[in-house]
Amino acid sequence: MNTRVAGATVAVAIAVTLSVTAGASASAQPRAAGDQAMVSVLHAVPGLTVDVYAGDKELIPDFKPGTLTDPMKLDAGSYDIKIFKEGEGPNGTPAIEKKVDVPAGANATLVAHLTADGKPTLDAYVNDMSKIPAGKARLTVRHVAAAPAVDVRANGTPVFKDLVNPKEAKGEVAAGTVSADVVLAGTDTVAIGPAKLNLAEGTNTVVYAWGSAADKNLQLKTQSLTGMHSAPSGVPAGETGAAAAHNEGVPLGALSLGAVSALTAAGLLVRLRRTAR
Amino acid sequence: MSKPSSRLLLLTGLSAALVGLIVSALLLVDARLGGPAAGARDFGPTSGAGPVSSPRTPRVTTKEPSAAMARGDEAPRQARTSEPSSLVLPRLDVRAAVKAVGVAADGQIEIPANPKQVGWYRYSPEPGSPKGSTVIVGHVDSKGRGLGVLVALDDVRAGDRVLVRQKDGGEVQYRVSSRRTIGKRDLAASGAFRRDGPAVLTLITCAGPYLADKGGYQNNLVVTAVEAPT
Repeated sequence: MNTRVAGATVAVAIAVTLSVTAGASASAQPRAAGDQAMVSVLHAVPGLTVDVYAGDKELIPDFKPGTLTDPMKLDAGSYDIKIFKEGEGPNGTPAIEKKVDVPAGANATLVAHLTADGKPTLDAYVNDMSKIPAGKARLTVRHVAAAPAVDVRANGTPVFKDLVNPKEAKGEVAAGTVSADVVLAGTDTVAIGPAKLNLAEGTNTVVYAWGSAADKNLQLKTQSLTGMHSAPSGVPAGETGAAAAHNEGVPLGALSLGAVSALTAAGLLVRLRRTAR
Repeated sequence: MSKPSSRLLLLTGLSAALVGLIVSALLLVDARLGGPAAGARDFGPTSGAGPVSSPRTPRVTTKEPSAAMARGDEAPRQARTSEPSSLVLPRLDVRAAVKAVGVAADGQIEIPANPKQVGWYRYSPEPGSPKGSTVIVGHVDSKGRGLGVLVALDDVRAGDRVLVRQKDGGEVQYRVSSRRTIGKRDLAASGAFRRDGPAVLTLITCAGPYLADKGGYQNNLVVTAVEAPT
């Protein structure tokens, strides 16, 4: 592990500005107004407890693999993210260093993970916070594992195919619980899972496939982003118009009662006169 | 038959007929004042954020019963969160089983086919939740099955009690705070489906006018009730 981390350090020592673009959907998100962004951090490098620094400032101490932070409010801008083996920062040699752009208004997740060939790296993903139609859920899958291309299946049916590290795939599916697994692309060879996923309506469930195939520690981590629900498009609660007639029928009823009463009164008055004679 | 007794009978009949006349006159007057014109009998505040184009509603500013109720509502909440099993409006004699419903393929809420049943929109908060609008829908009328149980909502009054029984055996008690007639296109933005803000129960059915060549009912009737433990 140590040699690999050292090698990786060289590989990623050059700061790379990530091509993170604030998509139209992300910038349209109402909550993250102004010049700030909501940023969560996921540690997906197995076997390495770390300290995370943004520049010289310690962002997350004692960060353990498989941990996802709560969203933090950060000013938009460029951050020099350095990840040190626990206790070695901030003046030692970082295990991972990368310049990351945090776009204004975005909801993003920084993921420290392995590349397909097992080197530690860091990527920033912008989470899709756009509205989701009523009754649906958004499912996002991110391949951040040292593993080849995979297919992602829900209840046995492939939903995303040929996903490679460090790409993501996403789509809108019916809300509900699904049994998800990850198979080697184009095969039925299960690499991870199956795992039960509760895809709640109006939420974006982000699933990370992480770990290392070689070390046999591939696993899933999920992140839930909420608040993208929409109202249904209507309530079609009437079919025949009978109720409208029913509710408007009061005057008719009143009229007929009036007519019957008037006729009866007239008839009785006539009878009354005759009997009086 | 002696003359006086038959005279008495005729007189009795005559007075009965006169009473009938008076009643019919009163009904007509009532119908004119609070008649079926869309929204004419609405009351109470709109259900929440969002623009609502209210359909020709004379805004009568009387005492707002909901304001006092909303204050009472701040008392410690005892109701527990659980799915609803039945809906009762005692004064209107409404009693209906509640089943959970979702969204149909066309994006609209599924309505229970049986108009004697109502549907809880499963993505709205469960009754007893601390926030948001718990939505229950039901047919006002239905093909081949006649009038729906929620046709009675037409006569709802401010302060009417509403009880929602829950699957865990609990019950949440509400009082009606508003009745709104909302154009079908404005329903989504009316706040009826908000998941934040004050906890309310929102009952939704259809309201006239019914125009067969324009898709049928033109409005939704939206009745809001606030939690009011007794």
